[in-house]
Amino acid sequence: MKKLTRVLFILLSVVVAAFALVGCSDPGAPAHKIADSSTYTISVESVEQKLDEFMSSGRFDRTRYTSAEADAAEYLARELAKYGYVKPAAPQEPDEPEEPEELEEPEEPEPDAGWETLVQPFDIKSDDRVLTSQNIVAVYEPEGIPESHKNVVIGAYYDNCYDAPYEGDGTGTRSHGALSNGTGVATLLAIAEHLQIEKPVLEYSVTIVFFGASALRSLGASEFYSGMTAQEKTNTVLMIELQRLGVDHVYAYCDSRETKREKFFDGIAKENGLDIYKVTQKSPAITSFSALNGIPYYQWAMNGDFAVFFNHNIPTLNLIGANWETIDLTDAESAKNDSVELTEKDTLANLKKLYPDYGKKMAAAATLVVEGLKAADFIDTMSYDRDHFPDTDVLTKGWVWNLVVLGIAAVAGAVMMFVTYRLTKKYPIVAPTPRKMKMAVFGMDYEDQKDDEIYIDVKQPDEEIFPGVPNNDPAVDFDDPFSLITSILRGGPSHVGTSEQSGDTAKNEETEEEIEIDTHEVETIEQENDREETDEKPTEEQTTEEPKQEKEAEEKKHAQATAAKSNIEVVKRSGVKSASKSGTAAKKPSTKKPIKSTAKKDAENDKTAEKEKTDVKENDKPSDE
Amino acid sequence: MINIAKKKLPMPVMGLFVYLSYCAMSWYTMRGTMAYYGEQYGFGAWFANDVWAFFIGGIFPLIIYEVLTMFVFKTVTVKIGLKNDVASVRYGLCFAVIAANIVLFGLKFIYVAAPMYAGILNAILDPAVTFIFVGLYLWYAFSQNYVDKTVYRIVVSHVMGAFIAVYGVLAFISIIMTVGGVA
Repeated sequence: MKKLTRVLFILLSVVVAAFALVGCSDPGAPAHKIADSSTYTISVESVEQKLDEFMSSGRFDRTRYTSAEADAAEYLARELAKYGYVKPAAPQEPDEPEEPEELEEPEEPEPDAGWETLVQPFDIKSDDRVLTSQNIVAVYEPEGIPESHKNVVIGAYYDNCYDAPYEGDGTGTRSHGALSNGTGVATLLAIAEHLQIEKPVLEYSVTIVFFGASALRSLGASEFYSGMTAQEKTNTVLMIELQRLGVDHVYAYCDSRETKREKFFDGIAKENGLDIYKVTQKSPAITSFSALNGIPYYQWAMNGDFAVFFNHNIPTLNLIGANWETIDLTDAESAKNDSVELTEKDTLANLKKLYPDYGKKMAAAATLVVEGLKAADFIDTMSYDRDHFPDTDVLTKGWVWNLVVLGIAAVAGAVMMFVTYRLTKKYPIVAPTPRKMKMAVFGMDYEDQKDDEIYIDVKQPDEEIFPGVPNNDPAVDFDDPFSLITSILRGGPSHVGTSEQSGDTAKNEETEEEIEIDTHEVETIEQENDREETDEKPTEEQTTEEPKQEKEAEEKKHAQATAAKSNIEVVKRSGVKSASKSGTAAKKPSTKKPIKSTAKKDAENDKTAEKEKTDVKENDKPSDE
Repeated sequence: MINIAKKKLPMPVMGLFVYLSYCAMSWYTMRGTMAYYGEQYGFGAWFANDVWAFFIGGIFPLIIYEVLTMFVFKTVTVKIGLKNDVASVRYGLCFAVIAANIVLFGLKFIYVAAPMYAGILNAILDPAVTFIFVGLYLWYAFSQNYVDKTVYRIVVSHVMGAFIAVYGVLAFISIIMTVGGVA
C-alpha cells in the first residue's frame, strides 16, 4: 500500500507541476516600461482619423468580388496617390516644334491623379464563375537606391464579409469590418503617409499592399506573390502583416523558431516603450494541423496572409490584435468582451465603445513598423534571417514520422514475439486448445453430442455426477478417471455429460473433433496395474510392517494413472495425430489446474480409503489370530 | 507484491477512472482542437474551453479502448477458456492504462518547452508509453499467475498484438493529421 501511495504521490506531483508550468509561464506581456502614446512616431489621432475616413461613405460593405470592394480599392489607391506614391510620367519630347497656339492655363493636376496605376486586378475562377478582385500596390523607393535592392512588403487585407459575393455563398455576416480589418488598413495608410512625409533614407524599398479577397482566404496575397518576379521574390527580406488591431493586446509573431528579427523587434518595442506582446506557448496548440510549412503545429498567430510569404521561406512579422490568455483559450479578442470579428457587431461605433484605446494599439503597431524600418541594423538583420531561414521541413514530412512509428511498432512486435517464443519454450503447449477437446469426465450436463464424441470433464466436482444423464453407469468409480476411461472402452456409458465450460466452448465450436484414445497404452497400463495388484498383493504382516512402502506404491500407481490420462491423444478428423509424449508436462491448457486439483483430490481419497482399509484389517487381525 | 486484480472495484467505477485518465491524456490536444473548431465553424469562443476539452477529449479514446479490450479478451476467453482469469487480467489492465495516461498527460506539456517538436513527439510517445505500460503490466500479471503460465503466451500475443496494431494505426493517423494537414 505504501508503494502505491508513493507512486500516486509522484504522479500527482507531475500533474500539479505541469499545471503550474502552464499557469506560471510567461504570458507574453512586455517586460519594459510602456511609454505614453504621445511619444509614438505615428500619432494616435492620425490612425484614428484614417480609420474614420476609411469606414465612412458606405465602405462598411467591402464584400469581395463586388463593386463595393472595387470602390474601397479605389479609395485606397486614391489615398496612396495623394501621399505621392504615383510616379509622374516622364515628359515626352515633341518631334517637331508646332506653332504655338493660344496658351491655356494648365489645369492643376488632381492630388490623386494616376491612382489607377496602383490597382492590380486579378481574376479568380470558381466553378463556372470568373470573379474579379484587386490588390492595391504602392512602392516607396528612396532616391539614390541601387537598382538591385532589397525590399520589404507591408500588407493588410481590406475586404470583408458583409454580404455574400454571389448567390449561394453563405458567408455574408453583415460585419462592417471596422476591426477586421479597418484597423489594419488605417494603420497601413498611416505608415504609408509617414514614409512619404518623412522620406527616410533607406537602403531598400518598401512595398505597400492592400490585399483584396483575403478576408477569408488569402487569395489576394497569393496573387500578389505569384505576380512578383523571381528577383523581387529573392530580394524580399521581410513581409509584415497588420490585422485586427485595437483590441486587448497587439501581438508580434515572427516565427515559432528562434530568429534574429524577433529580438530585433523586441528591442524596437523596448526602445520606444511600445505595448507589444509576444506569442507564448500558453496559447493553445492545435497539434492536429500545421498552418505553415516546416512548422508541425498551429497557433492562432499563424493565421494570415503572411503565411503565403512564410511558406516560401520569406521572413515574416504578423502584428495582430487578440488576447490569447483568456480562460476560453480560443482566438479571443478580449478577456472581457465577446469577439466581434465576422459578426454584425464589428462596427466602428462598437469598436470605439468596447475598446476606447484602439487608437493607441494601432499607433503602437505603426510605430513599431516605422521605427523598425528606420533602424540602422534593420536590413542586416532581415537579410540574415532571409539567408538563414530555418529549414525544419523534415518535421512536416509525414512519411518520416510514419516510418519512426512503424519502427516503434516493429520493435514492440519483436519484443512481443520474443516473449511469446520464450513462454512457448518454457511452458510448451502441445495439445490443441480446450474448446476442441470436448473432454467430459465425472459428470457434466449432457449436451447435444454425437455418437462419436466423448466428453470428459476433469473439472467437475464429484458431488454432482451425471445430473439428469439417462445412462449413468453407477458401477464406474468416478474418483478415478482411469477407471472411467476403461469403462468407456469396455462399452460403458459413451456419453458421460458436459461441464459448463465444455458446454460453452462446444457452442462456440463449429469444427468438431474426434477424441481417439490410445487403447493400447491404456490397456498396457491397466494390465500392469492388475499385475501389480496380483503379484504384489501385500500380506498381513507386510501391511502391518511396511505401511509406508504400501502408501508409496499406491501413490506410484496413482501417478501411473495420471500418466495414462496424459496419454490421451486428440486426433483431428483429418487423421493427423498430434504427438503427446507420456511423462512430460504437456497437457491441455485449461485442464492443467483442474487435473492437478482432481489428482490431488484423488490422492487424498486414495489415502483415506487406504487408511480405512488398513484400519479394517487391523481390526480384523485379533479375530484371525 | 500487490495483487491489483484482487483489489476489486466495481467495473463501472474502474471504467470511470479509465475515462478520466483518458480525459487528462487528451486534454492538451483537445483544448486547441476545440478552440480551433469553435472558431472555424462560427461558435466563437467556447466558454471554459479547457473544461469542455477535458471531458470531451476522453470520449473517443475510451470508446477505442473499450472496443479493443472487449474484442481482445473475448477472443482470449474463447481461445483458452478460464473466463475468470481473463477477467482478472482485463481488470488489472485498467490500472496500467490509467498509469500510462497520467504519464502521457504530463508529457503533453513538452509543448511548453519545445513547441516545434511537441506534435511529433506526442504522436510517437502516445503509443510508445502505452505499449510500455501494457507490456510491464503483462509481465506483472505473469508473475502474479493471473492466468496459467502454459497459456500465457496466448494472452500476451493477443493483448499486445491488438494494442500494437490499434495504437500504431492511431499514431499513423495522428502523424498524418499533425504534419500532413494544412489549416
